[in-house]
Amino acid sequence: MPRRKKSDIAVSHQEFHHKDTPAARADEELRISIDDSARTPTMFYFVSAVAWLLIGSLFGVMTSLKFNLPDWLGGSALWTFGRIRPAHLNTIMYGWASLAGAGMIVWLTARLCRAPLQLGWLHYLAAIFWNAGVLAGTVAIFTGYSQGLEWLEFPTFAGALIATGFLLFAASIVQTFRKRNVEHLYVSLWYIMASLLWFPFLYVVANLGIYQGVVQAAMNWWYGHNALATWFTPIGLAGAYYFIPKVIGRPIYSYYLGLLGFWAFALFYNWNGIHHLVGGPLPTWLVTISIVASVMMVVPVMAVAVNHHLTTVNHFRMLRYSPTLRFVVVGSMCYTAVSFQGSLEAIRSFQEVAHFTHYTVGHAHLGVYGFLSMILFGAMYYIVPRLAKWEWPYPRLIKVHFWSASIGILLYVVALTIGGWLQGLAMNDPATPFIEVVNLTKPYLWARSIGGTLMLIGHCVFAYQFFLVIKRAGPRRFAPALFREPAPLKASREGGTTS
Amino acid sequence: MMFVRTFIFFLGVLATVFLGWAALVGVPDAMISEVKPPPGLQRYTDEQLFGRSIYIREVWIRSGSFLGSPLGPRRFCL
Repeated sequence: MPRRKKSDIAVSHQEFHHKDTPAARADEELRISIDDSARTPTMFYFVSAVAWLLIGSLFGVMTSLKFNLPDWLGGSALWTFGRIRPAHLNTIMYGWASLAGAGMIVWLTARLCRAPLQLGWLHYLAAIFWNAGVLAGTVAIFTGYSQGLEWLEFPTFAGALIATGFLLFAASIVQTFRKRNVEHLYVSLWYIMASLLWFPFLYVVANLGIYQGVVQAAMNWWYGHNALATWFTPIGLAGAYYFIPKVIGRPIYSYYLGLLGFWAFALFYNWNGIHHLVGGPLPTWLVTISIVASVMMVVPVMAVAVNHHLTTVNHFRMLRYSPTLRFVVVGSMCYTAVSFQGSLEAIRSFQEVAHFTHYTVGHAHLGVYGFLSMILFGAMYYIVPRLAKWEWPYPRLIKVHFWSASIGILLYVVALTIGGWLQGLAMNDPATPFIEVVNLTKPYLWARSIGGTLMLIGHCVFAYQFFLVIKRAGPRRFAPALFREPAPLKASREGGTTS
Repeated sequence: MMFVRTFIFFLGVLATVFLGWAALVGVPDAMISEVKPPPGLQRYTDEQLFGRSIYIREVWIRSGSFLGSPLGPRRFCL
């Protein structure tokens, strides 16, 4: 047998084949039975998520093009910027990210609890309610029934459908957690279980509609920022904490660093929202504590970044092989970058330039796309073949997806960061006419549209291959689809399984 | 022991989100509830409310500074 490098052996354990011992076989059988219990619910969430991804990113490109071609589709109220932009935001956040995250959570919870999914039938109802809520809310936005509040544009009836779906989803996850067959709770489970408590509290309170005037604005940004803090970021971090060590084949660097990161995250993140209202008619102390909490986010972010980096260190060469690892590591790096950027943006002197400019839009996309969506893509590349029992047929298409998504988001963020900053400086100069500021941003807005189009192309490629896997079509592969094959393992590829 | 640790975990998690809500929303709401409206303050007229409903419906709070709508007034009938 040819001599293997240490990192290649780690790949082989996780992504190629398993050791042939009785314990390993029993472990594999357990994992297969767990996957069987989670298969249909997870795939139900994933299929709807991919559909919303295509719809939402198409809306996103249309929104961006409206900056370049303001008259385009301007003759119909349905397609005006004020409607299509929130439709893009809500379909991506509540359609794509939430449903893909829900699918990942179902599978991860069952795997980490080492127990079959409990009350799996609830997920069918949950997915139906959730999809109906997103569909109803999107139609409502297009027909002019938006609530007009950032991140809360869906009217109450659509919010109620989504909340019902979430509660059904959470009931099954909590029951699976109760029936767990492990003593030790892994870091990913902390984030998942915490988000199941945080997000319903947040969503229900925000949708009650009991706050008016300036408190409504405070509530709006308490919700808007906390939707990231209590739902989307925990999903992303749970995925990163699971898939990085899993693919590499070594434990997370430090449990205690994970503990520090989690509790600092829980303590500081949900105080951040009011930094969106710097300069607004709110008590100074209220804005100041939000700024302080935003800066304090450096603590959990550093803890997570150091933990992930020291887990991955000496194994970076595996990024050449594993699609999951590449997507997830890029996502984790974006988490660090976007979090530091967020702490900086909260500071008053920085906001004097950056607030109300395209800079903020670039920041938001770095978080939701660069961090969260990249981790969700990586998770789906890992989970889907194990559930569909059919490998990704074309590794080259995964590469196309990765590079179009990465170059797209890089172009998008760099263009809007530079363009937004210049826009902010120009807007602060009272001698500069507004039309000159608009003309100044034009090239950056074209770059934004090109970046968005690249991301959309990547999504189409991803969706095409995803539906091939669902249909079990395309060339059949007997080993995981990797970007390239590690040379020492080429000889042992025949007969490999994915589990 | 495991039950106690899990219970404390969930309690801590709930406490963090509740504290955030209390500080950022609950306290300002309580503070503003004591503020009396200035004398002579009028309610919005029907026309103002109609304009407000269009503003909200078209989500112009997000778009007003970037793009104007090319639509004529007849398109805004409720």
